[in-house]
Amino acid sequence: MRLRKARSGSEDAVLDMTPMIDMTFQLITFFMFTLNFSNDLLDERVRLPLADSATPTSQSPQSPVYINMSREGLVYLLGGEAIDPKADSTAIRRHLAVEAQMAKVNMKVAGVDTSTGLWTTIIIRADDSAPYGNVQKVIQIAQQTGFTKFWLRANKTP
Amino acid sequence: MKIRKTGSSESKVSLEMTPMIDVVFQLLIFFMFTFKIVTVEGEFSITMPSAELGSAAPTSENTTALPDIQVRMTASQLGDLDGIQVGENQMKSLEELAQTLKDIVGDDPKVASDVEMQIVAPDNLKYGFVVGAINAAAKVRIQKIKFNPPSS
Repeated sequence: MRLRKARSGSEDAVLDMTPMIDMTFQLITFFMFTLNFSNDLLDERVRLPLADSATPTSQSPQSPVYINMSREGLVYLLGGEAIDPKADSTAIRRHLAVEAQMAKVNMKVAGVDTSTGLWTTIIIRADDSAPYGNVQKVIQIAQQTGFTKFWLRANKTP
Repeated sequence: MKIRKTGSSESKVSLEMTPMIDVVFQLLIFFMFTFKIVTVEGEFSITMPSAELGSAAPTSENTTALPDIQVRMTASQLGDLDGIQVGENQMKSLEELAQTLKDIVGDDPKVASDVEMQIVAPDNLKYGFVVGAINAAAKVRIQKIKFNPPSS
């Protein structure tokens, strides 16, 4: 068996780039299509309760409002401040009132009757260990602001 | 103005690949780092009457033959489930609650959709147990679920 001479210098080794670029484009396309910005509103600190009959509905809710509640029962609004709904509900009330106002305007533009309640769905993502009283309080505030549709999020599998 | 001869084939046009590959790798790395595996979350859909000021107070408009089910839950100091009471029945676990609800409602989905269930639980009970009770109700297709108002 002959060994080739190294560094003969007579011919340059040409790297064929085409397969690599093909693969890279494939990967980019995959990651682009799986990119999902709608998950930004989900708080990863929340450990949802388990419920085996909680089924994910296929239709997406109409202009949803997410409320994440930590295991201590604190609500994190946009801006990151933690609010105890039992101690001081004004910030949550204000936040929901703005959402309600926006929903009312949108419904009026769309020509939907607002007297039967707002079309917004309040999605409550409360932690498994959150005290029930705090969840109740948030629901009560939302009801008083005019919301009627609620989704309680839970995990089907651990 | 001179016009170049086309198809002279003397000098090949070579495409410079390096900047493109650079950019492509940049993009690849960006998309890789923003990649998140999405876990699908389930949910219980609940409709509650609006309690807005000025609107009528919610009344129980359905006075059907079946009485409403009231699920009373009690909690220990730490917020764990202590006991459940439905009418006269005392239970210890959510599995027993599911069985009791099944006994009350039966197999008729028409009955189940008419029944209204109210959950009464103390403030310190962990939310997971309340969801467990809703889960038990969902298993027998009870759809109308109410919560008691918070104590304060």
